[in-house]
Amino acid sequence: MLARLLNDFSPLTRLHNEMNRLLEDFFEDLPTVRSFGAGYPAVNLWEDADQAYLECELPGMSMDDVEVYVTGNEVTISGQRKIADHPQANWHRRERTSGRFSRTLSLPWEIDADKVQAKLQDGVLTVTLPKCESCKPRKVQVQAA
Amino acid sequence: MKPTGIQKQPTSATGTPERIDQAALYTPLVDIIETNDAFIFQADLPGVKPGDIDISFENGVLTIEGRVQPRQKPEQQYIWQEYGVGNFHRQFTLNTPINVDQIRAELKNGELTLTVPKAEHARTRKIEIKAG
Repeated sequence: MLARLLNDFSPLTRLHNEMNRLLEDFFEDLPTVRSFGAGYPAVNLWEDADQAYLECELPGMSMDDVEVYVTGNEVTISGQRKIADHPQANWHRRERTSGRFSRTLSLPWEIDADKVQAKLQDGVLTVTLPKCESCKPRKVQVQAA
Repeated sequence: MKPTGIQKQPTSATGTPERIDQAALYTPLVDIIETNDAFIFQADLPGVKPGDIDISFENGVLTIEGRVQPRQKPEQQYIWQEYGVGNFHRQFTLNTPINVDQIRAELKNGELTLTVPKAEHARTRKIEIKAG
């Protein structure tokens, strides 16, 4: 689909591109937050029968910089990335972004908020979310009629 | 009938190097800062422990490699996956002579700070201008 847009010179696409460029110029002085489409940070989510596991990569952040909130079936990861400033130096390449971020995910199960655990190690945050009792899968016996 | 064995293939002059192992390889984001005395590389290497970094310098090329311990089983099924987990690799060509023995590396919270001091004769020196 991206290839089709690049070759599409219709007036609507041109207007779309112009608006995007205007918005980029407006926001360029604010602290940049990387855009993943859905938000920063990128997350991986997997589950077993009892728990869900949420993992994201937060390099350069320690426990003081990150907060995890759980409400009902929503998990919010928020925090701030600080990058050291070098006032006297030349920057050859600037690829990392800094600033505040917040991302909320809605999960398909209710979470037992009291038993949630979060671990931040080597820049990787792993949140263990136990599902509420009634949300765990139950095997149903099929009876022969 | 034409032979169906593997034919000798001509290689294009700028062929990309082939990978031996099929594990995913990722390019870390790096900031490069130059001061009068040194280059500072700051790389984001989440999931890399201090013992799993290899930094080498050869023929003017600085190589940063970080090995990531797998965090899930290989057959792990994700409900939602937005990024992959794999080793990091990045190379930089430095044209300025550097002092290889004094390269300092510090890895904290998955963020690498690599200080590469310039060789003595390559450091910027301020030259006093006399009003005359």
